Amino acid sequence: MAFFEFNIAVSGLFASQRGLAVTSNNITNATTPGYSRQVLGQTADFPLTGLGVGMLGTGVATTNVMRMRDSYLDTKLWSQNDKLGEYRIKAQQNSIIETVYGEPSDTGFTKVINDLFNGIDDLSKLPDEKERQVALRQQIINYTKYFNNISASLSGFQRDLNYEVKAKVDEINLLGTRIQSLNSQIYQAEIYGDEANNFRDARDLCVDRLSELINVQTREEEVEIDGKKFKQFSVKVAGQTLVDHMFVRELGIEVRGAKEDQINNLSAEIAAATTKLVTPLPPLTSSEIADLQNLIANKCTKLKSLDPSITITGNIGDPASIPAPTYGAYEISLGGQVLVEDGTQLMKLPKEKLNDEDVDGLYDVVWKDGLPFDMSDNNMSGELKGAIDMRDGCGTGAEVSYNGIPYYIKRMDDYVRQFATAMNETYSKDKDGYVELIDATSAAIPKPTYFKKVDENGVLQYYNEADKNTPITFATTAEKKAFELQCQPKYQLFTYTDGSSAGTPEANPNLTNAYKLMTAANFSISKEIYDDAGNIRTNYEHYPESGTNPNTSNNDLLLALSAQKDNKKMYKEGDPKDYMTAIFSELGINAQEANMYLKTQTSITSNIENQRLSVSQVDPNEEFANLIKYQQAYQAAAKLINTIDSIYETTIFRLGNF
Amino acid sequence: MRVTNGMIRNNMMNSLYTNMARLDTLYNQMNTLKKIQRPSDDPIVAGRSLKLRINVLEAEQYKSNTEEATSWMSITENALDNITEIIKDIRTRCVQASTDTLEKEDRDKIRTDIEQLWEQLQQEANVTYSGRHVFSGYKTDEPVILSKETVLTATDAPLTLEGEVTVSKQAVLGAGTVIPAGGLTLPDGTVIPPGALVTSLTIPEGTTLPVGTELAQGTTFSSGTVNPKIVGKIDGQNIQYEIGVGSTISVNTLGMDDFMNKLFADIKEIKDGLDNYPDNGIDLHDMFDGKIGDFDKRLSGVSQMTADLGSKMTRLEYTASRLTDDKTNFTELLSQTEDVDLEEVYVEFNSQYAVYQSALQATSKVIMNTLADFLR
Repeated sequence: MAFFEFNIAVSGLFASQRGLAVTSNNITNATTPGYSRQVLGQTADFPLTGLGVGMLGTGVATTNVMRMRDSYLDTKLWSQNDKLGEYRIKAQQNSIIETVYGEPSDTGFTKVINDLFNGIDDLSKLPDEKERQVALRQQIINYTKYFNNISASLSGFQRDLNYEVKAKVDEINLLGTRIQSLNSQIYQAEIYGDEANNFRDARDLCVDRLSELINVQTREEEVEIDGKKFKQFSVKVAGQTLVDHMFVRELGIEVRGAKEDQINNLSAEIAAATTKLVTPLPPLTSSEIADLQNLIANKCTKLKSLDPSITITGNIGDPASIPAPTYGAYEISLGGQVLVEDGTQLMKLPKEKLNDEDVDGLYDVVWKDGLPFDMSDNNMSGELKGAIDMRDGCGTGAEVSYNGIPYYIKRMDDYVRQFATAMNETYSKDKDGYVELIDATSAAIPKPTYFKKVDENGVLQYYNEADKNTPITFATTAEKKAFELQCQPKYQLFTYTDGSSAGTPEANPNLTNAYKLMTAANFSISKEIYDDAGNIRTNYEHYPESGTNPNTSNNDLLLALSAQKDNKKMYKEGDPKDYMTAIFSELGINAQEANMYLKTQTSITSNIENQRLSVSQVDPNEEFANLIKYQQAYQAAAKLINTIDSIYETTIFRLGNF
Repeated sequence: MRVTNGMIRNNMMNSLYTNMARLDTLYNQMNTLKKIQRPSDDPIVAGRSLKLRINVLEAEQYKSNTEEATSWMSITENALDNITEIIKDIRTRCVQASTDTLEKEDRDKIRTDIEQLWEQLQQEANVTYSGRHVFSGYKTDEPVILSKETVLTATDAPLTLEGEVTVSKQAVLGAGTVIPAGGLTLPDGTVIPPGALVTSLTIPEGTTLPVGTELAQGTTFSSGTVNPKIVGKIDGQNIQYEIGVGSTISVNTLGMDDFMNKLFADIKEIKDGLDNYPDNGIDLHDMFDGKIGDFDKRLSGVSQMTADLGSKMTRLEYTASRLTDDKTNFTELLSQTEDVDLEEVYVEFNSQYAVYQSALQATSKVIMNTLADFLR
């Protein structure tokens, strides 16, 4: 048992030295994000027995370096973080949309609508005054520009959000890959039974961020391999596996309508190749024929792989039929629509869009391994969901039901369509109250004109130009409906701009089909008035195209237009002001809701975060106290050695010196 | 519970942010003097303030409409007053003529006076408001009485008369003019049978064209004749100004065409009577006595128009004052809805600022010290 006490003292020296190391590590990492404080595990070392004095302690042993972490709090935070991220994006984006409308202020909608109707009213007082006509034209232009600008801004935001979606997807992928590689590092490190503190901190930090991006579910399972226990960590995002221990999946993006583009291109190539196959001059050599046939077969395979539901029937230049350089009747069709028939491309697939209001080239989020990713899933949340909701949300009934940007564009489109319908119909009336119509779909020059009027029984009737007394009879209501859709008011205040040159109103606008071609983006003054403000009709007998205006000071038409401002039947919300007020209120309530959720979520998460900090964060005071504790323990152990040393000195040198 | 420095710092920062957000809101309110900066601050207030702002602007517009209507009506009122005065003058002449035994030179004088007064009457009937004839219904580009020789062009013709027109001087009916059933009686008794004229026809002064005559292109009337485009054709042509939601007022006064037609006949009768005296053998005294009665009728006609106009102007005045009230009320409501109470915000800002400062103080104290400061 000689020098036994030395060993005990030394174990104390080592232990306190390790304690000092752990403390220093804590202090230096006090500001490291995600770092959890570490504590040295100590235990009394295995005692000696059989000495007849009971168990004799042998000093101290350091067992492990533990990180102080409560995984329950982590899970709790992760389950709340997603809503925080989602509403952060929504609050931010809603607030951006609010700025577009510029309300409440003296310069927004209130101004343009008042200016427009004051312009009509001013002209009604002196209907033949040139200055007032020109002023009204300018006011109509300003009014339309207000909606053009809003629509353009909203579309711009949608485009920005599209990049945001991509950025979020990239970040999710990056985090997934890092979690997977940390999983493998932790696995390697923990094979020997140690806890991989720093790696685990890093992994938790990754999940912290990931949980803001998208809702996550994590699971750490113990598996037993060859009698040894290992921990395996997996992360699910939006209910689907992202990382499963060493295995990681990736999200990707796909441009909407890209598939349709490819199908259209392939169809065109096949049509061209089959046509070439039968072109007699110059005669094709047999190798050329074989090449063409291979090409066709190749493209057909590609087409089938793009969409397995594409059917190809008939003889389309089967290589087996060499050398016959012919093809028979063939057809490529998809879902009942014939794309190509006998060498002619009959139709192109339209680009697929989620909402009619969407800009081109929006991204769909997909799993790169081909499994579907449901973007409209209501169980999804997080920043990605926030960005998708804002980008794709088109209100109740749409695929993404949130009131996102397409929703506001749609509301603006509906506004201008109904506004233009009501105004143009009033503007197109004659002195007997008949709305003058023109058949926009007719190829005849001049196009045939009709009249419509609600008769005394409240039924909307149509009349031929020649006979205003006998309504046109329709065999079925469907026929009447079809007729209705092909007619449009003969005179227009509002039309839309053509695509060719910005700002010029369409010369022959097609307002049929409930003004389908008109949107808030292309809403415009009509060509006639744009060209000459003198073309504004001021009364029901005023026909600018023939210069007929027997009563120059008659303003009945202008008064009727002016009354449209308070036409409570123009929209189901009421008059134009009511409609816009409804939008502003809705937008306000949405933004308010997002702000409120953001506030609540922030307070929830910061509360959990504080609880987590309470467990895990390095506290300098505590560490300084530990510093002193370990320093003094070290000093005490050193003192022990000193004491034992002096004892041995006495024993060895004093006693032995005889 | 274990509380770390970092937790305290976090909490402090959070409350600082909350403080600053509140300060920011108050600061914005003081800057803009508006309770809300965007709809989400208070969607209900946002909606209400939008409507109220439109109400204010509407009231402004209606007010400016009443002002324009008032100027239009003042011009009309002025003209009616003048017309009353002129007719009174003519009547005075008639009274003079009926009481005295007239010498030739007196007759000539009265005739010239009446002629002059008639000219003035024509000018009053053709009075304009910013270049528009106020008595011409919707056809404000046409005078009630022709002020210069007028030829019907292709765009005007054929023009069907809807009131009798007596030509002031010699006139020409264009070829193709259709005389209605009953024919056209010239002053000398000649009757032009109904039907279209083959060639143009010159008719003498004083010929009365009956209702239904279809005037063809080339028809020429001289000044002083009642405008054939106006007479009988402007019934119900009230020019409406909007002076409220769904509420209009007609600014013009109708009936001047018919009135002038009758006056013209009266004057012509006097002139004819005087011109042909004493060959025509009429009793001038009786004629003037009769005319005094006629002019009294005309006077009551004008005063009816004036009364009509007066009541409309009174309505306008009421409307204008109500619109001023409306505007004040809406402005006040708008202000109540969206404007801040400055004193309140100022006090709140100050107290919030004090809170912010004390929070800053506390934060600096808490974060300043650790155990390290007391170790040596």
